[in-house]
Amino acid sequence: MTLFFSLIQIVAIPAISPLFVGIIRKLKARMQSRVGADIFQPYRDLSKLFKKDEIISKDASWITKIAPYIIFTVTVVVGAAVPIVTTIIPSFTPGFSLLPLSDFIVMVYLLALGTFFLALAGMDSGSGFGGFGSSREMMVAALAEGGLFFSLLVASVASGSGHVPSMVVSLQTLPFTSFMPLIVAFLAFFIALLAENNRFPVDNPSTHLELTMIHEAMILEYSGKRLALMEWATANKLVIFIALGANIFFPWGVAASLEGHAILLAFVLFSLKTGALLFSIAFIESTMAKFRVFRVPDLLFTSFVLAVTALCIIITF
Amino acid sequence: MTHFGTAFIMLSFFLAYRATGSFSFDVWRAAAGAIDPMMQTFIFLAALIGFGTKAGIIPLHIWLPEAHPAAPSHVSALMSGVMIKTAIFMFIRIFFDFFPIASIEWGLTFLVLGGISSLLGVLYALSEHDLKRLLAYHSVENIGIILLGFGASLTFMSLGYEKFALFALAAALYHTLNHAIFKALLFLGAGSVVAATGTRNMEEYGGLVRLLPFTSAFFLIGSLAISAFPPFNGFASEWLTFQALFIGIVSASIIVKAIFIFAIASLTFTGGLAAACFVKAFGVTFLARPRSEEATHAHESEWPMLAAMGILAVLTLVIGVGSGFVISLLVGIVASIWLSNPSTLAFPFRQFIETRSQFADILPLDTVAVITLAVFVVLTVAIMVLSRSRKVSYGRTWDCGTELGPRMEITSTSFSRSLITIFQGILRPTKQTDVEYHDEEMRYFIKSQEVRTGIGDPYRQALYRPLSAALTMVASRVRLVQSGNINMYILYVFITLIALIVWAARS
Amino acid sequence: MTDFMTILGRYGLTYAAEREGNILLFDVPAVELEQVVRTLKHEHHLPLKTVAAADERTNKGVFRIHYVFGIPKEGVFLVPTLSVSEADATFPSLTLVDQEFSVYEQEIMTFFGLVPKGHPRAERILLHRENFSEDLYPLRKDFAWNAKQEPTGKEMPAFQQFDGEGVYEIPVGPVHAGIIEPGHFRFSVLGEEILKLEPRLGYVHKGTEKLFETLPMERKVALAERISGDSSFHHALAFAQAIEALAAAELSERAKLLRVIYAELERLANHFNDIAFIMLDTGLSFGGSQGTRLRERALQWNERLSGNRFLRGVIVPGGVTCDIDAETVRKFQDDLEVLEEDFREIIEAAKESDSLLNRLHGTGRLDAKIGRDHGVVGIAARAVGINIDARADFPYAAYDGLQWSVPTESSGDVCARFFVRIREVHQSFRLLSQALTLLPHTKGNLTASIGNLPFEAHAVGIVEGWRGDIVYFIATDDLGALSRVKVRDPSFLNWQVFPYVVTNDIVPDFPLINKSFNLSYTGNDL
Repeated sequence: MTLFFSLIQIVAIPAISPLFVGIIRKLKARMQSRVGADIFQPYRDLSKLFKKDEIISKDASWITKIAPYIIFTVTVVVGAAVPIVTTIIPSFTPGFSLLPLSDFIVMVYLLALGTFFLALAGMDSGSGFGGFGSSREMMVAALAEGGLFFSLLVASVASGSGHVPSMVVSLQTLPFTSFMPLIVAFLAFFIALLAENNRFPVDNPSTHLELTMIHEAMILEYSGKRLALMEWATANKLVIFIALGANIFFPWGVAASLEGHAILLAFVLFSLKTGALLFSIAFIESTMAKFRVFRVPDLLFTSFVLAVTALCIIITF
Repeated sequence: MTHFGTAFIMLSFFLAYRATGSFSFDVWRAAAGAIDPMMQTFIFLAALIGFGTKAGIIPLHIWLPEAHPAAPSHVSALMSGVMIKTAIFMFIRIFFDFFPIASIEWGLTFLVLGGISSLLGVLYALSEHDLKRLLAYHSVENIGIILLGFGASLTFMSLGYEKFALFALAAALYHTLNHAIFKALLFLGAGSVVAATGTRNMEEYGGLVRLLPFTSAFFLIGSLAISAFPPFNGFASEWLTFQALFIGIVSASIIVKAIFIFAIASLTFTGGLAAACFVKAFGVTFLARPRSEEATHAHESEWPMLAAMGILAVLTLVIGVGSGFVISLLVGIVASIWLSNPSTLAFPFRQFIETRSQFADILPLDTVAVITLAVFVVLTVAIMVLSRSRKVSYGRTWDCGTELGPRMEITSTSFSRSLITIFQGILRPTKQTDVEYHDEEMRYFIKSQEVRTGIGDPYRQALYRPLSAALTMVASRVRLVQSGNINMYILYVFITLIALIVWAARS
Repeated sequence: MTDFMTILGRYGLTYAAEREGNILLFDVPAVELEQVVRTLKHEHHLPLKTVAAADERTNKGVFRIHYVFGIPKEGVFLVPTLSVSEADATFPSLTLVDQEFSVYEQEIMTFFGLVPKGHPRAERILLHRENFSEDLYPLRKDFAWNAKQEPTGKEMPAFQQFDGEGVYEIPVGPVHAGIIEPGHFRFSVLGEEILKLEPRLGYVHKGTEKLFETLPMERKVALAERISGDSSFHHALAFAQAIEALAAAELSERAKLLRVIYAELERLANHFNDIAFIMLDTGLSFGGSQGTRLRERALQWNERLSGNRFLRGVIVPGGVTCDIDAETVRKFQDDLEVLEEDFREIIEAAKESDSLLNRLHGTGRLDAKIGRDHGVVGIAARAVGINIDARADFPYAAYDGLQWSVPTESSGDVCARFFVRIREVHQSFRLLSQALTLLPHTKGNLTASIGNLPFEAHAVGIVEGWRGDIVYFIATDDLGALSRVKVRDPSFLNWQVFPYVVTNDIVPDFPLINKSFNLSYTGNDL
């Protein structure tokens, strides 16, 4: 049973991530008075890309060829350790479980590994667009890490554990009055989510203006199956962040066992929480202009300061 | 700077002699508790400045970026990997071994110094376009990280948390070991590149990944290690340092908590900025197209150089993946300093170490590595099989309809310009533009333009120049004594003789 | 009609002048040209409207260069003219007197082979040397309009380098990711800061001015409409007005009012589009989608009234071809009220968006002095406080009978150009409402007949297109056929200030700045 569950946990996030992207796009379309594409369209897009031939730049090296695989692998591996409907940690044999992957520092740094290779791939083709895309991406990533790390640290200190599933379990039993710093930390986490996943107001995922791009500029040279992997990995990362945000900072409802009714309840609550987050993202993207590049660090430092404030509150009381 | 550092080291030892009456380390250990606190402060301060100069703590670091790049690369590797660690060794000896009664202020001082050094080190590294100076500044950064662990250990020791102190010191030692390995690897890689192209200026590199395939692969591994990505060794020691610092933020006083938060923040940002810096270093050096003639004619190094790099690269992986084993080894070593039986240690606090009471399973990076590798292999094979009928062809990079030349790739300076602008309060960048017009009256037809950028150097300006100016001034006054006149010298001898006779007669 | 000799006397000029249509043309010897220009431009502040060269070697044995100065409020143009012999093939450059002449002189050098003496940078523009060898001068009469060129095999000329360590270049275009016209931009960049921008245009050079000389009369209006698709109506209108000035034709009140209505409709459609895309380029998709919706409504009205979404086929010399009956007038007025209310709401929402205004403020600032020196026109000029509008300065159609004002801003940044457009939209609504109220009470034929054109005469047609003023300078030969049509689109002048607008900005702001000008590549290239 647990083996089956473990396998599901590994493929869960890659399986549902295109749907999440489709939902955001649909919500944005509705807010712009458009009908918008069907929420399952990203699946068709990925399938179409996998069937296409590829063209690789002559100036690119093996880094370009291998980067999509590394980036996608990282998102699958981290995604396997993120609690979605249950806090049980997947394991394959007694003694070999995914527990070490669920340490929040390991998660943050593994995702950063993906970003590292993405930035290298952006520089590999020697186009000016990829070059400045990588520069901007590393700037955002370096500064967002503060807010991201500290917001997760707040949850870790409040729950007394460094592993995400244990954090969720402990936080579920925390009294409401102690939740205030966690809400502040969640704000910091949300800003880091927007920054790390290249959403508004940091980056525009649907722009065609190369000079303004961050993420899209780095994958400009990709086509065919490698582009599909890159886009899928981006979706995976978004779901990882959304799931972490929903389940750590609003931990109620996540099942502690594999019983049917607990899982069902957890599933419903998970859908509600993530639905709210997806709506927030779509709302921000439809009603705000993108920040000028040099205003983004102010936003990221705000995220950091919020998280540090939350941390101070937690360790003082 | 060497003389400056040595002077302070000797001052420290002389003060210790003054306080204990001997130069023997055993005497110092025995007499440590009896030393007057004021004297103790001076001993520690002199040791801090003296050995700090050797280690390259900010603001005593100014020699590091000059000296390390100037040496041949294998010597630079030794300098960064080993030489500056001797200062760490002495810090541990002085603060833990000889005089283990340091008050908490010293631990906090080291934490603050470590945090500042790591942040400033990586920021200065970001602004460099000389490959070896970049690596030299990263040494400053990593010394900072080591000192974070060291400072945490000192703080815990003075608060009485011996087990935590042990843990934190193991983290510092782990990072010392790791830095030695990956910094040596990086310097050897840089040496290979410099030998191949004849220049240290990154703005002239590019496209070397095809011409120097092994060097680039090894340099990539070194970059991954120094940016602290799992499962390499850099991640393991930074993770351990984080855990040590986390313990500190739940301790008693507000000041201590605040400083630990500062330490964690500096470690966090350092990690992110270091990764950014190495994307720049690796990307500009090895990827895309060559930016100069020399880069197009580069060739791979001889096999001994490659073998050296290869061994170090394998070590970064092995020491990282085997972090469990290494950590338990290090704890044993550290425990030998004070504790009698390390194997009976248990962790009563329910902080961040799950389940086991031994150290061996704190960070099973081997599991992480295995799982990641497994997924990677399965994924790659699956996709290769599924898409075997798709063609992959090669074409020009998208150029919007024009030809791409060597000037059209991002440069090292431009890559980090945004980050430098964001931190301009600390870095004080300068930019000077010169324009030449065809006609002085009309400012509309430009003949040529040039821009020059730089980074402010507050240490030389605010600290060293005034110091050396003062020193020179004093020296020139004193020089008046050396009149060259033999009669004056005889007079000096005569006066000294009289003074000695009078003094001898008195006592 | 004022005595034209007294006009000349007013400016202290004592040359013999010919009065033709709305222009006063007089020959000036080369040595006195600079003095005359200084008098007219610096002393009396007459705006330079265009500089047109013509190849009149068959008739007069010389090339002639016409400098067209306008006298605002009087609708008259003073045209000092220089004759240049083929043997000499040079003329004195006036660039050091006024920067504005620079691009005209480069154009004359390119297309006629006459070298401006003393020009700091006398080079060919628009004709790429990869395609046109350097000794071809297309607008000379001895160059056949259908002569085929082989690619020369030469390379693109090198762009100016910005020296300094760490500076790199970003080439953008001519193939762009969005649906915009081709043009190449070479950025010299340090990090995100733009150090230098060098545009290279000419990718859509179509030989329009040559075609004007070869196509039959009935096709010339269609040609004018296709110079710059979004200004079809205004280009055709300027051409028609030039013909009407030449032929001294009198239009009916109804035709004039109809021209105003169609002109303002074109202005509305384009301003809605620009306002939408400026917001979209900052990422505010709400503003983008609403603005383009309004534009679609305007284009649909174009089609309902004229059968063409871009008002093509509406203008003929002498009047218009499409009328608006009383009932349609009523429906149109009602819909315009709804549109105006819609627009007001959208702009209110936009003004409340801090993130939008933060992006627009201070971005892409055009310095007023640079603008004046280069003679910028239209929205760009009004955004730096220069109050010029051909509808007020050289009134045409029915504009001088209507109440409206010229909006100006002073900051010269993207925000200023954004708000100039918004305020012009309100003025357009005002004009449309007045014109539509007056229309049912006017009578008259839609078109007046144009007789034969006078021989060896010249005329100027000037209109305020939505970007800026469009100037047509036409000349007839000794048989009454058009021998030269010089088209001056406002983009031709405004592109020249482009390199100066971006030097304090960052790379990601460039698309926004470009969109805030929204210059026509094809209008520039012709």
